[in-house]
Amino acid sequence: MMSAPAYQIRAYQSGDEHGILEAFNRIFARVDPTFRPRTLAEWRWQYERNPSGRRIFLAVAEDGRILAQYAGIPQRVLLDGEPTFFSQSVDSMADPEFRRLAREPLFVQVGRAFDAGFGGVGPDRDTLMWGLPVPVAFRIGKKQLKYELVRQQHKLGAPLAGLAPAATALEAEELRAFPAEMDALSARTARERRGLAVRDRAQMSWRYEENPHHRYRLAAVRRAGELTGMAVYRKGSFDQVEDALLVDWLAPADDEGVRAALLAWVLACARAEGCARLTVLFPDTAPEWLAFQRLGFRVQASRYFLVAWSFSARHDLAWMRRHWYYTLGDTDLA
Amino acid sequence: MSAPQRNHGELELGPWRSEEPPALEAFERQPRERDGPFRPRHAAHWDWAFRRNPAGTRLFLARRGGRVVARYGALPVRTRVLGETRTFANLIDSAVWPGEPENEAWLALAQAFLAAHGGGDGDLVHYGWPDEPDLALGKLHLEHELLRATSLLARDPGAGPLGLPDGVEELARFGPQADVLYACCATHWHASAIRDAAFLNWRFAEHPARRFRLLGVRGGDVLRGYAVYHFDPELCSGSGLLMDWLVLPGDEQASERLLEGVLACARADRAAGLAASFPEWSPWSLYFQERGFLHHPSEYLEVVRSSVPRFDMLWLRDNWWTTLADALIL
Repeated sequence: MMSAPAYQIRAYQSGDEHGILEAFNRIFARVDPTFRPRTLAEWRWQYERNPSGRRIFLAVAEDGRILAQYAGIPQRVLLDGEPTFFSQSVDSMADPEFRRLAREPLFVQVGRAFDAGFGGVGPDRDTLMWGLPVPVAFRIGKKQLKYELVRQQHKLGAPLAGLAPAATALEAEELRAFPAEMDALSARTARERRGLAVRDRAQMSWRYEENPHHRYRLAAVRRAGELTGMAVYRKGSFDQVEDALLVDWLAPADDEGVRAALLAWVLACARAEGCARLTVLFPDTAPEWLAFQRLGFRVQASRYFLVAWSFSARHDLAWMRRHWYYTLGDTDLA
Repeated sequence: MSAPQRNHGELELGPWRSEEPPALEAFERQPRERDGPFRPRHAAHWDWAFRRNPAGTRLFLARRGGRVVARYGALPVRTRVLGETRTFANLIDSAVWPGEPENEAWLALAQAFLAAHGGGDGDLVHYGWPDEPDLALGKLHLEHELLRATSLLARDPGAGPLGLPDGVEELARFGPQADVLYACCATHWHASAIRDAAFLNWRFAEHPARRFRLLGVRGGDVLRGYAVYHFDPELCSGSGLLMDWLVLPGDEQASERLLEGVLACARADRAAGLAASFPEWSPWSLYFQERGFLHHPSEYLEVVRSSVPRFDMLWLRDNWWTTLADALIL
């Protein structure tokens, strides 16, 4: 009978990326028939070039093989104006050959080390860890880690033919790159939203312009020369449907003119690309949830559910449910 | 049924039995308790909840020196799950009296309740909308997990008639036609409370504390659909509530008439709105949205505890047909 090889649980070290990629491409290819191997360039984009940093813990065998990984995509976040981090759990894996040989699942051991290594409160710690797990990961995570449901993540969708944004004198301008004023727009929006991942130029450029997987289109709206709203669009697949996606949205909640101008641009993009429907994701507590329904979007179930665990008594999951604003762009789904 | 257990000194735990008189004092509001919607204040309400429920009785009390000092209970409902009849139970807010060792009494009572009604042969699912202490304790000790943050479909009743439209009649009770209607509709769902006449009459027609309006559309001897409406200015910010809705999918005429009927009821009550609840995957969710209803979030968190791992939160989310009628505490 095989026994578990000697291994250590530790944070990522430079050079681990080769072993991580080998394990990632081998393990996920077994369970996902549509899996396309990840390249080193894609890995470096996700884990080395994110302006918010890197989050990886590993179970590493003595011979250097990666037996398990618990990883996250960190986000710089402002909670009531105070800086901290969130991290979205992604790419977690355990080599099936060794998964059950340890005293407790390697996935759980590495997950606990990840929590201890990065979780906490304050400007340098991850106040919240969250994810949109597959059912099997959720069932393990809720028992052995601290996964808790935040909400069932419904989507808002509408046929393009049924959407007609209100008339406005404002016009969205399609951009090739995010302007420097994104920093100010992000900061202003954070004051309105209470819980918001920083959307400054560095973060947005990394997330969208430099993204190796997808091409995004972006547009901005100005009032009296000041950047007041921004949207990101892509035609792509979400929840097993390929259509128009409103990926990111940063606009004052009560500014109907900015909303109308940005939506008109999104609709024009979608029509030009032959789409039939537009899909968008917001928390149901965001003002946009009702505003978009009033424009003709309908709430539909999706297969996704948002789970999280908070390290802050003040900013607990009830607080997050009420005040944390996010879009599809916060996730790795689009 | 076993005799009451003596535990924790003189703390006496056990089920309330139907041969006992009502223990209305068990529902006196305690200082740290929210003013929940279920609080029997007279014998008729007690009997409705704990003697006459066709699905049985689920109430455990802790007594000290003969005086009630804590309660833990639920209102059960027969539920069709993959074609078999099982029991789900809507948990009632629990309470522990001041001066009692809170967690100790609560946990002992909850565990006694689970020993009697949980497990593979007992209730398949316990569910509810707990207050904060119950939510925390349930998650910590009883494997309660969040199913959803409840959302309501709501709209303004708008201008229009105050009376029922042609073809909609007000029913005094449900008859065998309701059994047939439910049997036809239930095949669309993997899990649903059995909405036969026995349940519907207990749930609505015989409710001693709330008045429900039962609207039906018939075609000859066939009940094509029904809607149950309720108005309580203290509930849901003064909105009228569409408590239950059962129409064969595709019967557009019956649906339109019933919706017009409940909107007329809401107007007649000068309700601030009309609110309903359906699973987001249901075609009825889209149907109501197409008729002016918007999905509003609420602060109510619904928890579940399944005694069989297969029927966990994710399964229930995708397969359990629910309406406001499933909140038996209303």
